[in-house]
Amino acid sequence: MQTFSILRSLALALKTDLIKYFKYTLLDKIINKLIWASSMLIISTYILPQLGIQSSYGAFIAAGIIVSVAFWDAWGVSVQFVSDLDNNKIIQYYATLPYPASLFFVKQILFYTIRSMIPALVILPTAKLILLDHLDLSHLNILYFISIFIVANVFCATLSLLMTSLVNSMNSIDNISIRFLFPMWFFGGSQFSWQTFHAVSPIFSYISLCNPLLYAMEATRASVLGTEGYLPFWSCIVVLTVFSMLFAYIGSRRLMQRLDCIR
Amino acid sequence: MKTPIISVQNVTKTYNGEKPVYALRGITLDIIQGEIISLLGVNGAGKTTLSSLIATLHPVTSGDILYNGKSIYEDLYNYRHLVGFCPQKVNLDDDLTVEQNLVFAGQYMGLSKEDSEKRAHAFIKEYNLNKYRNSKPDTLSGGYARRVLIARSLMHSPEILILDEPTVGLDPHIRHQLWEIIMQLKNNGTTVILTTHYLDEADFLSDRICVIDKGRVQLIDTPTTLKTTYNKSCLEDVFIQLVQEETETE
Repeated sequence: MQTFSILRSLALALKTDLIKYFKYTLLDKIINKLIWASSMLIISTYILPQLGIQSSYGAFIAAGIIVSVAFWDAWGVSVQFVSDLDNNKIIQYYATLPYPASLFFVKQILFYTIRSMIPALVILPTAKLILLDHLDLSHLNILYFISIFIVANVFCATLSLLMTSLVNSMNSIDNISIRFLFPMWFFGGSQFSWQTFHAVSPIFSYISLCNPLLYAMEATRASVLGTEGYLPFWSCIVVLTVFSMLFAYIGSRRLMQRLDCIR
Repeated sequence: MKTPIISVQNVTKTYNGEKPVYALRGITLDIIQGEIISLLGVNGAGKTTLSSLIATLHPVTSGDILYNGKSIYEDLYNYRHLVGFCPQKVNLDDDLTVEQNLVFAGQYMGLSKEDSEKRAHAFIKEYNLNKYRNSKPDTLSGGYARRVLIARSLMHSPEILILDEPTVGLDPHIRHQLWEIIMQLKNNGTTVILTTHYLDEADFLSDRICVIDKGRVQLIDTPTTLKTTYNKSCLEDVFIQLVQEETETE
């Protein structure tokens, strides 16, 4: 009976988050992501090839943008969370509702996942419209794509929880984005595959295997463009799952400590 | 001898950091069902910490808090159904309307949507919030935001209501309106734990007053007995004398 009551309260808290998201944020998110993705795709497909870059680079970037959208959305979520911790502390109200604090963070991860998945869903059809024949979807593996789409978005959700726990206040929020996220994104396969990196610098390419974003990028590209030339798909899924569990554990633990919640 | 609804037993609270802060140093206090008990003390005395521990916002460092003789931590989630907490800082959800804030609060606590809506409408009427039912909380004045906050904490009809500085920064006439609301709660049988800086407020509302100093209970008694004991006409003078005595002891 108590389990039912706890789950009911959590489901309702998730529903509230989603109502607010659909009503006030979603449309803006979709417009912003579309502008960002379209700009990148137009440049990488129609302008960069004039500088000697292969014309298939646009398709390569298109697959990566699906992950990038979720990755940068995770950052937006963290900023909101830290702002609340610094100001109104609405979270304190939610933390004293009749459910365990740890489950509250599970609910947050679930919400962040759904929140980043929805705008990311429009990227692939948009990319096809912009790239036309430059994006060959004959290698698209639906099972692979659905799997990595979910796993990558869960990963980004847990990453946002971890980032929130690492930021002390709004004053230090830039430190995380510049010192942590930008290198993670640039060296996480957003612009090149691991194989290309390996050809240029084997040592640094092996170091980059510590970057979980790399696995999300590689697996997403493998699912859209075909597995050849990318890290093994299912290994990427396993590594991302492990990182997600680790980030969720560390992030929620640190936040519970910071909020001084009853565990 | 009335049985306490809440029994705080030798509770300590330490905030660990570079330099540990000993916010509570062994508080023991019984709270009787249906009373209004005010927690008084200077800034940093430990009033807000104590109320937030009873509200289960934070865990105790040592000691225990009992509800009807049983540790609240044994059945935390049921206990949370029995407590309403109104924090010092207005933490209403600014993305929701006043009405939605109330309806969702009721539902989180187990009310059906219909019951929650009925109760929210009753509070909106009772607290004169009709004009603002579809407004966002961040557009409300301090007094109205505070009313919404109290209504939210009462949505699930808690047995115990914890009010942390509910009238701070409000105009005198709004304060008096909130006093009426608090008195009405007491008349309905709700136990109220009130943290306040305003001694006239504590004097007017409280059945008992608990003065906290440096994380310890300095004294607990009725406002009348305190005034008689210290031979003062108002509680403010009693409090000033207590602070002076404390300073001299140091």
